[in-house]
Amino acid sequence: MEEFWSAVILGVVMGIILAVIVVNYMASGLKSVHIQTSADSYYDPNQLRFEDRSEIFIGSRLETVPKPRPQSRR
Amino acid sequence: MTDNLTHYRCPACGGTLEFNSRVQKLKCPYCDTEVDIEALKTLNSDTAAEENSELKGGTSFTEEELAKTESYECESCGGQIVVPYGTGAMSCPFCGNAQVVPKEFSGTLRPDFIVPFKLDKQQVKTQYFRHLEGKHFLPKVFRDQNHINEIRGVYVPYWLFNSQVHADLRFKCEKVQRSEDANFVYKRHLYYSVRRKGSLCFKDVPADASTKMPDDLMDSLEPFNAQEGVAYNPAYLSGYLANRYDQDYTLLLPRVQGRMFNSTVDAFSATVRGYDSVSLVEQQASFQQQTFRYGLFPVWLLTTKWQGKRFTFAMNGQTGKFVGNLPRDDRAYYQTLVLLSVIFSILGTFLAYVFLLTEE
Repeated sequence: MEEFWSAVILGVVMGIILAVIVVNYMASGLKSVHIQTSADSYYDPNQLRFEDRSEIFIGSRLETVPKPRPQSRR
Repeated sequence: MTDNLTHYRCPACGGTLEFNSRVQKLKCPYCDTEVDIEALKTLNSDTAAEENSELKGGTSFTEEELAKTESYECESCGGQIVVPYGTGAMSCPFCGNAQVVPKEFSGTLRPDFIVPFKLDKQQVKTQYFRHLEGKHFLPKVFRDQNHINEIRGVYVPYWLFNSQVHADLRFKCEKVQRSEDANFVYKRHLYYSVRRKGSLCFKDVPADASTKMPDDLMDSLEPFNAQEGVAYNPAYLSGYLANRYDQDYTLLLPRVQGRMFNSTVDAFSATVRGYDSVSLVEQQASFQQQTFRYGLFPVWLLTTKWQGKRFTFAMNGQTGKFVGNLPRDDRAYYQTLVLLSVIFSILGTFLAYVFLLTEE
């Protein structure tokens, strides 16, 4: 029974979030007027010229995470 | 001021010629005579002489002048036409004849080019009704009862900017290598400093130069293709509205540079690949070889009224791209939200229950 109510809470939260995303996506079609913030249509990608495109290794860090111990079945 | 108006007379019937986007010529609406723009000078030598003399004397307007209106006398019916300062082409409200004010585009104000209308009023209506299709939350009554108030073809003044953007960007990037044994999961985080220094050339980035036109509406009509522009000739304005610029290019330059810079960052960032995370930590840019020019682009404006509210739509007169915000049916919006929430919740509960049972 505990699993059932956990599933209900999880399902309702996921359901509402998904519904809001879908409905707002459908409503976004009503808005077609936006300020342009880029100029992507006005350059030729083949005209991109690099003087420097270096990639330098700086350092590393090791993160160790203990594995969860297997739980016994009820 | 009652002079400086030009209208182009039909050589056959004397009616006023209008530019026709289908045939790309001036056409008489009364007898269908078509006149080539280039041949116009020989037909209207008087007009051409007047126009040429006007081209030499253009000066910039002061801020005080910008606020004023101007009146002209229609050459066809003699009616007084009052228009906001800077209006370069119009229709007489009394007889409907197309009028052009050559002085608005003369001297330093003369456009470097003009892109003639390619699409006509009928195509605006077609695109408008297509624009309403497939909109789930558009009120049905808007679709059914909404009536088109007005459709106007307007030549909108634009500044076009060319520039080479030199940028120097530094990114902090990270790769994560995973391994594990019986007791631990190991994540090795590898850090890199990535540099992209280079340049990107932009050509004909447009900026609407008229305060009368909303920036967001004009931006949404892009892209325009300035390569299809032709040498400016006032005959192209006949039958349309036109404004001259009232925003200097220096005012618009920072915004255009911002757009170029954003695109440069995006283009450079797209070459930084193979990492699990990339963050931009340093950016520098300079703009070189900057040039600009002034042109007129064709825009159809369509206005409708619904429930006392005015809705303005615009269509790119070159490409047919149609834009304009539509009202939302709130009732349908919330009904759909509730319905989908219930459906997704039931499905989500079922899937979550199955998942929890299998986890055990």
